[in-house]
Amino acid sequence: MPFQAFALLMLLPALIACSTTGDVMTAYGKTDDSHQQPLLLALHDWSPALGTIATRPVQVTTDNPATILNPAQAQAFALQHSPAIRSILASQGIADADYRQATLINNPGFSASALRAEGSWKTEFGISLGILDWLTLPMRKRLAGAELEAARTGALTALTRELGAVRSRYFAVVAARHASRQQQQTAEAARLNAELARQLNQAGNLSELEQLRYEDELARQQLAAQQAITDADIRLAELELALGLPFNSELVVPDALPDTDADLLTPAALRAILQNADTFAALLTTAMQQRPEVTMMRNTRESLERRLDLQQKQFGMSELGLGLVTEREPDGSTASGLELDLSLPLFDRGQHRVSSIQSRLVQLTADEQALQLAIAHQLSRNLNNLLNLSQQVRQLRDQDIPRQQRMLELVLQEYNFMLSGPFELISVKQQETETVMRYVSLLERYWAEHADFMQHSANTADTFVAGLVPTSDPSALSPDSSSPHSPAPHSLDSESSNHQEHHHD
Amino acid sequence: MINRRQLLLGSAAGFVSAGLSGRSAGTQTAQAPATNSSSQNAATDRPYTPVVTPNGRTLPYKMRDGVKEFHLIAEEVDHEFAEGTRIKAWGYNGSTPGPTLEAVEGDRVRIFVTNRLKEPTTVHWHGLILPFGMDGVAGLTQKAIPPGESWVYEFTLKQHGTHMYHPHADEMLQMAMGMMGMFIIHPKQQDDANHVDRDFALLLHNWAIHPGTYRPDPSVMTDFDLWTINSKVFPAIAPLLAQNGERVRVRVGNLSMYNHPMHMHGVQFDVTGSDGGRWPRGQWRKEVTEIVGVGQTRDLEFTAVAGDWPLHCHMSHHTMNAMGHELPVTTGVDQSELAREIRQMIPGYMAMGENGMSAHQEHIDAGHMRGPQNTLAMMGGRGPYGPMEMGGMFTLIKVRDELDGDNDPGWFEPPQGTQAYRVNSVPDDLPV
Repeated sequence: MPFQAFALLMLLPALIACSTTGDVMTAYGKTDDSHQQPLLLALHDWSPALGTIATRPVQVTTDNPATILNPAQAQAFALQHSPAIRSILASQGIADADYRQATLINNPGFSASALRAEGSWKTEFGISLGILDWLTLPMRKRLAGAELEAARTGALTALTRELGAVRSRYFAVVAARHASRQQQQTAEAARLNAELARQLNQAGNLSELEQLRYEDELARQQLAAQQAITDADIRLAELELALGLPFNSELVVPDALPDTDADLLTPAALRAILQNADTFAALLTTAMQQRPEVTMMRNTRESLERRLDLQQKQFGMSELGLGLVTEREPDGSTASGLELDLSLPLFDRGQHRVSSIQSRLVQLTADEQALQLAIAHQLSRNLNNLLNLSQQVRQLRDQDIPRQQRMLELVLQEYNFMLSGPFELISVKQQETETVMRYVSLLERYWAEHADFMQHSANTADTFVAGLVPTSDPSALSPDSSSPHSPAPHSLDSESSNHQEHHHD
Repeated sequence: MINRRQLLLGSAAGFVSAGLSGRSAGTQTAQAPATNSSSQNAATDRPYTPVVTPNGRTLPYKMRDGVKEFHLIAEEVDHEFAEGTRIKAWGYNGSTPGPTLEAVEGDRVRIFVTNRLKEPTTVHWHGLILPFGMDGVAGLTQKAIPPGESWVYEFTLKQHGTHMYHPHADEMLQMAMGMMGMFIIHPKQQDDANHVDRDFALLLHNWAIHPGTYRPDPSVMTDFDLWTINSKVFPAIAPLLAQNGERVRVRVGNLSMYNHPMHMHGVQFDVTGSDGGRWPRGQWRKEVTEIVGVGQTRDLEFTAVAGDWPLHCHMSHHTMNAMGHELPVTTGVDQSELAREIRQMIPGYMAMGENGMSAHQEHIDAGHMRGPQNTLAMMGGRGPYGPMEMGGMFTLIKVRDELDGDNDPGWFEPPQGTQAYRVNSVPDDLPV
């Protein structure tokens, strides 16, 4: 009995020491916003880029959303308030708990039995502990850590995707508002033409047939204008959802897309990246270092390698146990001793597991190469599209729209000299607004592509392109587009050239 | 300093010759003077009254071995229709129309033609009876005159009358560009009983100068922008000056693509001649409007009566400058509220035409309605009592008891009791 007591006493501290007494219930699982901060701060450790976003000062609050929003603030706001993003963060709590669980050794087994033989009881007690658990604990901790890292990477991937979506939705709603404003202008031009036609018809100067043609055009434009308003509202609602705001939150966004030289990447910079192999390689390297799915693959590789190492160190043994057994014989005597429990690696020596891990490593290598190729193509496609769109946007902004405006001036001069009529004059104005709408559509595609590019290159700061272009004019590169939109030197819409923001009604 | 009249007289006597080459006045036409560029004074020592070409001139000649030698230079010219509209035209000797050729029936003329254009040309002597080979039809009567070459036309004038000259090579383009001129042949036998004191030559033409452009469009066939007399539009057309009681002849040639009913105020004129020469007295007819058909000439004669009398084409669009032809009619349409809304979208928009088009000239004259470059307003000209709302083929015959040389006498003041006046009421018993 003294030996038994001694043995148990010796085991207990060890068992306790091996147990995890820390608080596994971290803030991850809590839903209170006040517990979100540790998560956001933790983001710094996981991803400095995301952490930077998370800690950006946000002027917009759920109590006061009526503040001018920009894409960076939208992302920060989403990180801090979006339930969907909170859910992703909370999943990290689960992963963390799993990790902590995985780093514990299995509880020791305790067995007790009482056997009656020949009128007397024979009792037997035993405590057993898996020795393999003990032996492989450091390795298992590393494995669990790798799995935690993989889970974290998965969460980062999801977060990046969500934030990319927030950015895309932000530009989508601004574009829709911009387009809607122009569509209202087009409809107004059609209304003026129709009203003029009505007055001329009433005065007996225009046939009903001609008048109805103008009415018809007005109806068409009004439908388009109504659709544009609805589109803008829907897109705003989608942004509200992404931000975690309720519908009709009175969220305020600009009503014109950024379009100054300071806002847009220059064709020269984009061409420099595309045509310079070293620059493109640097971009690709950055992406490969930062892209969550690449990180995930890297972690998976480490995990598999550790798993392989673990398999090889288990020598094919899948079970190995050490136990302390005490038996009390019917005659009252007791017998104590150690018990070793193991599975003999005669048939299953873990070859299939080793083989499986090795195959997965080969597969992973191929997947990594495929991913790198895919990312290079994504970036190339993004850059080509951005180059094309940047050129088109500039052409419309600097040439086509000013040309239309000049045409309007000239037609007004002809109208003044009774060389052109009012219908023609107003129609030219309508053409100008339609050109501006094409411009807005191109701008929207530009910013959508830009958001894709940001996501594919795994960058959150708009200025990173500047660092890629070796000798370019810094002023030609895009600064942080999160700065509020300043109007272009020329006003694209004379009625609202100051790009005032409007409440979402 | 030699003045224009001395120049004219000297040239007629055969003393003035600027040489047969390089005598172009350059590519600048003269600014429209207050009066004609040639003296309108009828007093000469010649057996005929010299023709005056308002805004133009008569080409001097040199008599050589009994032959009158002229030199026409076909070239590009910088032409002004009126202040504010200049074009690159083609003409002769620095102007469009080219200088008027003036000779006498029976004269032998030798006309040197130098081609300074970049394409071949010819000169067709419109309506003249001459040898086939002198008719100036490219490819038919001669090879066209290549750029840089000088050719000679030589023939004897077997007729008299009001004639014209123009190219017959790439004719559509070259005429649209302004290549034309008058060729006046006086009768050998002067008809003292029908002597004229003043003899004017007017050449009608049309031009497609689209708003904001500087070169005629030869492809236009109907919707011309400018209708001109001697390639000028009112109010830049020099008035025809005469003294009260003088016998005046106005020779009108038409090388445009429309017929023009030329209407003269204040007199009944006699139609006394045409390309066929001076008509016998018995064929004269009294008219106030005479249609001068395309390619035709007419001589209109009358006794001058004091006043500032309009002479114009009666196709009212021909007395307008550039104007649109497919504009909506805004007469009777009150656009005031709509115009305010349109101005919100198109600053500077102004409703026009609610009560007619008179206000147009007022707006233009006020200077707050800018028009296209190089384009004349549709109507213009101011008289002593306000806007005249005219343009194009419109000019004035200014007749006074006594003229001060070629100086514009200013506006005519109607004698008391001879001018329309305002009344406060109209008798009720007048039938309406």
